[in-house]
Amino acid sequence: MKTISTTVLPAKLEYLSAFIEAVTKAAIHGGVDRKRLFYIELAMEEVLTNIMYYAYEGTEGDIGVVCRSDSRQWFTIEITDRGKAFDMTAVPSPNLTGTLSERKIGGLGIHFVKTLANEVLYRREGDRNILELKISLHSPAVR
Amino acid sequence: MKFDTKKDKDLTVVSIAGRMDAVTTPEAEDRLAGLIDAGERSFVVDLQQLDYISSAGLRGILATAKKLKAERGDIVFANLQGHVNEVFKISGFQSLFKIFDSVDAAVNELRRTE
Repeated sequence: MKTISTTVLPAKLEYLSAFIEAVTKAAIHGGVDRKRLFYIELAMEEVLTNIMYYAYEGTEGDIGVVCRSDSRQWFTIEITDRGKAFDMTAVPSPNLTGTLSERKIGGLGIHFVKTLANEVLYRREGDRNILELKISLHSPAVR
Repeated sequence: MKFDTKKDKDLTVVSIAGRMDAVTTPEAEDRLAGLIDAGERSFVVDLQQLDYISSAGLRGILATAKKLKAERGDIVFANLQGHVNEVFKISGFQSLFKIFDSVDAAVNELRRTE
């Protein structure tokens, strides 16, 4: 795996577009089909805003985003923060079929991430949350 | 994001253009809430010019729809484009809301069910 880009910025909404721009550029460079850039943008907004809103609980902190590609099979995005432990892969899927009164306001973002990336891997290392999104350079985007 | 409203007799056509993301959705949601507070009850949301919507955008729409329902109002959508259409699909919003191919069709439906 070759590292294409590393972006470290404060976990604040005003940096959302800078993060997404860096990842989009890296994805193009890493061989991702342009049609799939939209899915990457969507998944990244969900992961990043989750960290920005909840991880640091009122204190300040950074988010690190590292993009890698092997140019054949995988483009990967590794997102790291030092906020409270949170494993989005363990969150159950929301109810997508209920009526308006049954539907909850939250939970959709995580569902998007799991749907749009081919694989989502989480690990806690010391005080860090590390989330890895794997995007296949071949297979279709939405399962 | 660009937000335009057009009053058409008893209903309001809202056009949202550009992006509905974590940064822009609060403004759209506030403006929709303002219209509801001002007494508007029937909304057609024209998404012809909307390029991008994230779950933040969907949350804004859901919150607006819930608020309207409490006031016995109604909200329908028209002209969903490629990506926005896909996002509605994967979130189950297609079965939750009435979606039309044109603003005219949406207006006719709202008038018919009143």
